[in-house]
Amino acid sequence: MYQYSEQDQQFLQTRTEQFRQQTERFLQGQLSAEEFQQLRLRNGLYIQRLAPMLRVAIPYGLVSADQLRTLAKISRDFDKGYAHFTTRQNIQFNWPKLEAVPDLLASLAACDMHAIQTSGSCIRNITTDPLAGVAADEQVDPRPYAELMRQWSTLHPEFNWLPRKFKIAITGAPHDRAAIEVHDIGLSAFNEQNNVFFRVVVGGGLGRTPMIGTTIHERLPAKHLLTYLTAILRVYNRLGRRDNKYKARIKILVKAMGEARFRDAVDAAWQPIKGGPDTVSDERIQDLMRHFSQPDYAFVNDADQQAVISSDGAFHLWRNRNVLPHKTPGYNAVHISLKRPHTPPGDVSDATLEDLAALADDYSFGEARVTHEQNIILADVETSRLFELWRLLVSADLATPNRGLASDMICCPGGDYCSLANAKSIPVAAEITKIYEDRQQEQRLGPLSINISGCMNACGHHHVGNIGILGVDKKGEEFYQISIGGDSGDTGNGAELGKILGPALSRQHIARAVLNLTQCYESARAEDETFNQTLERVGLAPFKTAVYESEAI
Amino acid sequence: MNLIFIEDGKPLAKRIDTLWHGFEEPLAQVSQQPISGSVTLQLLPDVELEDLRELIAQASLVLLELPTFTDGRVYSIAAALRQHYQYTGCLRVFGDVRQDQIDDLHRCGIDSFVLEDSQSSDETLTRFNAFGFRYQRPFG
Ligand code: SF4
Repeated sequence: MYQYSEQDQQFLQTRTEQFRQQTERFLQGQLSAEEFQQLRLRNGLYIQRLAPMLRVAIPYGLVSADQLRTLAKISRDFDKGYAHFTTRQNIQFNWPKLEAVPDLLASLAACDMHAIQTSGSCIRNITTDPLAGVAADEQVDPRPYAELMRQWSTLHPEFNWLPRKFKIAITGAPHDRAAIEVHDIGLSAFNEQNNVFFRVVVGGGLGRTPMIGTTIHERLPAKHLLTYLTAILRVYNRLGRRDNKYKARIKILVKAMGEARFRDAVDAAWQPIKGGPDTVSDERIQDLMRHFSQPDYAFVNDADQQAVISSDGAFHLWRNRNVLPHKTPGYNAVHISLKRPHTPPGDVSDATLEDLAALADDYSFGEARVTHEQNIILADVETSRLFELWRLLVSADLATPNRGLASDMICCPGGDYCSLANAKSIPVAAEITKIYEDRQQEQRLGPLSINISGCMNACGHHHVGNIGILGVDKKGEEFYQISIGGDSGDTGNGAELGKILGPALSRQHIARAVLNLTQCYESARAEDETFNQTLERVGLAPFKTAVYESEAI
Repeated sequence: MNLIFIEDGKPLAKRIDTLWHGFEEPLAQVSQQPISGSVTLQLLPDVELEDLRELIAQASLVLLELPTFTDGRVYSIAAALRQHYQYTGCLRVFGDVRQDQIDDLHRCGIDSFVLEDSQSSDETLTRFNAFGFRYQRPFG
């Protein structure tokens, strides 16, 4: 965990008090609704379909056991005893009362958490690889850079009123587990002779106009990170469209200017500040790194430990699926699935948050990570303790062995909660989960991402799912458009947007259609082909036939 | 309208009746002729600063309009004027200026603020340096 300094803590307290005053001024009629809306958004507070919703940042996905306990307590004190993990390493509470939000923010601040810039037209929570610092394939630990950007972007005076929201993601591994190519800015860190560089990708994004980002710098030395980001944001803040919110994201600007002109404009804005006071020294990065608590790894012999573990079949199924390799011998990253039958994807009760906190304390140095697939990772678990941990996970209903499989769906809150939705998404996820209740079937299928969004805003990342499902409104009725072939980039082959399969389907046909698609894949695939590889080889036609010409539809 | 200005690091308020109070009236149009002496410039939010490089160097007052409080362009124009063009004269913002934005405008290098009569200058004066500590250094 990044350890807050006294300054960081005071800063959060001041921010909370500032919002308390603003809320009071609003409630006393001294602040217009229009103005208060903008101020509350920048403190994470939406007014939703049924009640306010508060989105809390989990910066780059790191959360301590104590923070999990605080979140559990908040869910009891201010919400109805549960919370929802989003696809951007945030957590949402759905029922806080407006008057109580300043107190809620004060509880967060007391454990070094906040909701700053989790909404509004500003730089949002910085996201990264949930396996940062432990992944076996990692070249550069992205955490100090993520923290550097968190600090730099927090209440940045120049970039608080951008044309639209702005999302930055960073990875330091060739397998991109942070989907950087579909962010406003994506950073891919690599190491050359002990020097860190970034490939800088700009203008990716999902939503109404999905786009894979454009690389505008192949090899940015790490020391220039902040000045280069400033230049990009300055160009966007000056030139991004403000007349139409659907054309206001940076991807539209990059497209309109063209890659070369955009790059030149950034360069022109960069030259005068390059090498200036915001240049990042090696010492700064080392200092940030020192503020991260380092797990005190024991020297353990991995081979010795294997023997200790049980031969229980269910344990092995779980282990093969949910336990990931670690940089340090004898340790493992354990993936805890929050995609369980009867629970909406990403939803957790206060009891589950408490369970997770206890497990993090007992098995993973008091720390957990939140993934953009709405799951949890305990990143530092000793091999000899896996079996013990698994038994506890089983009793807490947290041992579903489905990491990356069909039932590990990404799903937005949709029509049940979100006022922008065209259709519900949670019941669709529930129906699909039901199809794969027979675990063997999904194990046989192997890795498959099914992503569901309730509207074009694409919070459920449907464009980058192998199977993407998008809620659309057809004359007041809920319909669903399917696209196939998407990839968020975690296969290591770059991100890919899915292609629309055909006409949208009604609610009662959607789960069946997904089943037909996966059956088509299973019968057409050669050897170890992934869904996307099979699709590439056989084309869209057999999948179309499977969905639109099957008896059931 | 009221003007808020900074004197010896402290924000103060006074009544004014022109936007360019204390300075020359802005040039209605930029002529082809070289201009002698210092000038007041009024820049639109979509200004191309590079075209005005020479005038900026001569200016002692730059007026920037905030068309609505959510329009963030002036923040970047101000920052660019200070950082990129080394402009050291007075940078004055007018238009939809609200007390909750004053601190950030100031931190971007704006040092003079024209408030509509609907905005309380007493309250606005208390909004400067709202935080003892910030993560970024100011551009001023
Ligand atoms: S995708 Fe649409 S429905 Fe789903 S959470 Fe986002 S805005 Fe709401």
